Amino acid sequence: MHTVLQTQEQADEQAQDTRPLTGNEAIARGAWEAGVRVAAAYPGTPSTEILESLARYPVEHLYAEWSTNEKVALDVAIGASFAGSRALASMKHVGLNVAADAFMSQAYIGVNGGLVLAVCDDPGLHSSQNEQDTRIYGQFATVLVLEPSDAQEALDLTRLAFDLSEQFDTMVIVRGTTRLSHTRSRVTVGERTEHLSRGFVENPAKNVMIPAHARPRHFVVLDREARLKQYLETAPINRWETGGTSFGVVTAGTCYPYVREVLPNASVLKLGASWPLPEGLLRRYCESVDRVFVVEELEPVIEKELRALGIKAEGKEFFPRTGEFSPEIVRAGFEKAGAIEPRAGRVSWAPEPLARPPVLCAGCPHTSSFMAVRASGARVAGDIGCYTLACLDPLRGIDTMVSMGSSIGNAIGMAMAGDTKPVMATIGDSTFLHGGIPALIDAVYNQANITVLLLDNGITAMTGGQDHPGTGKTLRGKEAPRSIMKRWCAPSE
Amino acid sequence: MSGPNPSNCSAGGVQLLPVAAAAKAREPINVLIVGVGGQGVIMVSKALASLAQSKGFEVKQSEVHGMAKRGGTVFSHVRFGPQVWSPTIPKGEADILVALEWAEGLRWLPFLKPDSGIFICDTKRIVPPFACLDRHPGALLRYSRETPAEVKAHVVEGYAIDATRIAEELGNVRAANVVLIGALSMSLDFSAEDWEQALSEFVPKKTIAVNLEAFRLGRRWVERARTAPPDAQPAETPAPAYRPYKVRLEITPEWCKSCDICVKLCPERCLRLNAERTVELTDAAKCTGCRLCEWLCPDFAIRVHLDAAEAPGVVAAAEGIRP
Amino acid sequence: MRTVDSYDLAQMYQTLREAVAYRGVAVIISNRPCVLDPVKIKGPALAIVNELCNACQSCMNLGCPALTWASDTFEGRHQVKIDQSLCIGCSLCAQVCTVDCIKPAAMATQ
Repeated sequence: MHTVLQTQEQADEQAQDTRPLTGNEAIARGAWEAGVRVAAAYPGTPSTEILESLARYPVEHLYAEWSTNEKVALDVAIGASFAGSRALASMKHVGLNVAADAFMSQAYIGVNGGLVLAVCDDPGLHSSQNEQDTRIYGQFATVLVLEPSDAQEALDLTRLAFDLSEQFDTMVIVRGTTRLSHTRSRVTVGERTEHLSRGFVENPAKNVMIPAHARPRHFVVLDREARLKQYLETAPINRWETGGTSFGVVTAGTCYPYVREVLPNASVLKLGASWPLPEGLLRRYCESVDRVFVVEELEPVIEKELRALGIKAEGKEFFPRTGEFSPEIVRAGFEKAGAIEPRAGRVSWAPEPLARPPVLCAGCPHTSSFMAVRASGARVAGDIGCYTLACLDPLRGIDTMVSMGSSIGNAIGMAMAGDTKPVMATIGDSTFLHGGIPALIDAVYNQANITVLLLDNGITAMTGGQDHPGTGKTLRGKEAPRSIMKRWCAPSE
Repeated sequence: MSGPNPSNCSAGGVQLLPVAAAAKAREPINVLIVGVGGQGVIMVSKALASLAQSKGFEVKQSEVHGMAKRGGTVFSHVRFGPQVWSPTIPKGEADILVALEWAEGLRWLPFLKPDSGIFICDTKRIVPPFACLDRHPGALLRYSRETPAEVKAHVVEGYAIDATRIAEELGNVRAANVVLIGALSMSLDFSAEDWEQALSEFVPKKTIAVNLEAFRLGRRWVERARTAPPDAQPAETPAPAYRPYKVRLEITPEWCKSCDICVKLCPERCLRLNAERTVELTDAAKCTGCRLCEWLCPDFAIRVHLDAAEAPGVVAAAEGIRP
Repeated sequence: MRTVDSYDLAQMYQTLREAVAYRGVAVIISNRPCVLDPVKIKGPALAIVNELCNACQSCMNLGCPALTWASDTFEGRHQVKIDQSLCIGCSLCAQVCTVDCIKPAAMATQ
């Protein structure tokens, strides 16, 4: 019988308004509480539910949309910020690549209404094509990156992000990971604070990024970084939790609970912001312990910064640069480093696991398409969607897949390079609208000899069935003008 | 955690038994729920998480979406206690493993606590298309071969329940996960009434009655298993016997008109058109003698002969040897 | 530019062949909706007439999750059965069947 005691403080907590929320729902709730008035996104695992949750809040509170792609989503949010309203754009890590053009320029412009970008990384590639680290984008554009470690922090930091955005005149990234997005835990929620529009502020030197304006703005950006660092020296979102002095751990985000699981009593500096980093605080903390470990998923962002400060930090030597962390991986790292005693293996009998790759559903219309593709004997450039699964046996119908909308451009290149087989591109309806249209125009313009197979199943299926311009419905389920696939592809005059 | 004791939880309220030392009491209970997309793994974990939460525990429930909908593996970690750090259960730390599908249960076995973990598994088998990709005669299904008896010998406490059949008999196959919730409830310290209330919130309104019945059947199944272990499971069906043969392709080049149909549709992709544009076999080892080319050829240019081979077929099949 | 019915395999083959032969940009749109979203599509299931199935497993080329091995064999190869609860009746397997043994469930049991 498994029995657990209930403590008094738990009983007290129930008096507050607490509810179980996933990280994504908590980010949405935080944005709603912060008075967000415009939100936009393109669906992408694991970020999809942020906008789906936001769309459940009253329509008079905020406007929420599925955009055709992440760049459009960010541009919509930037526009709302220009107009003086608080705005949010959300996307998965690779979505930020699509939006990067707008993102990098916006960093110079700064905000009028608070602007928050919720970006969800996917360490371990549960459903992605790479595992890039969004914190490097924060460093790249010199903007603040907040990193929640659980759903409660997801709410609190998202809320705070809007205030900091306005206070420091910067866009703020809230960086999540798959584990944060899809873990449900108890969250104490608050009320919404209305932030009425500040109105558009006419200031071309700040809002129009021609070279003459951008040059001085770069100085403003660097000054902003210095002020952010100053703020982070004492900000309560960074927590110094004391413990032993033989070693200390600098960590952030979803790594923090793993560290605590393994080392409940160790000294930990838990950073709420993983970019920029407060120099003074880091130096003082590192001096308080004999050895410093950095536990961070993916790239050694914090570790490199510590080393640049001349601090002998240890990290990627013991904790991998690839994949998702788990308590086991963190434990193994500390054991390897000699920081803790190795524990006896706890693994029981392990039969060989059955391979169970995801498959196309029974009756999936992509099945016949790829039977025919296979029979056509063509070289096939694939794209992102359920149909990417057709690269596996038995359909085995896709030769390449790069990124959203790449298929048509890739096919043009293969055809122009003289592939020995006829060249075909396969692309889904949502992906086509996202990034395929410019490439199709290119193909027609340059008279490429390719076949484009547009797999129109009338939905964004891979992420769980979101609407897009071709479905004739908006995020909030309202009727909308339907973008007809045929029209996009009609022969030009 | 003491051993199984059905009388503690068959009815009545929560018993707040102290667990070992005070420090130990801060360790959460770890329940890992696994299955295949569409089976209702998330529903089980939500019901458990909501129940634990209503009892004032800190709860973390972690799952991964994405590919899950398309017949892939689905898993959900539920941890509850006075304090929970990691959202995921470390390997070898799960108190209870609930599996809605047989092979998935086996996949996650290493997560169970070796000395006290409880294994609750539906014997339902969902065979992925991938497991059937072999046209060789006597081919073995690429699916886990461990029997419930074997698995039970490796865990401290194990229940292999034919929950899907129980649910089918109730008239709603989708209630199989609730049968397993019933079984799970026998190993946790929440009252049956609390469970039933939590369940009523998570199943569709129209199916509450059938689901509560499924829940009770799951409880009764475990109760009975604890007092009188069920009979040994029926033996696995042996691999099919067959008369071993060698494949020989007889191609009449004069009749081949290079239509390419056989090349395109050969499941093993072992045919091609040669320089003279007539069909030829590229890789004899790959050919399974499925006769697809023979049946599809409009000009009777291919004939497939299955010549007798020497090895006794029954033995070959049982050992999984291919002719 | 052509639109084809995803559940008509012959039309699909034909159109794709023409598109590949066409010089220039050819666009084909396959138009059947997703079976999961926004509404789950479920039609009458198909079934296999066991006595006719020659175990060529041509249908297994589809990789459809409703298709698995049956317990019976033909020439040592596994015959196929259709999981009635998963099949939505798209008929693609019936279209590729070499011996025409896949029928609507009601007809197959007669």
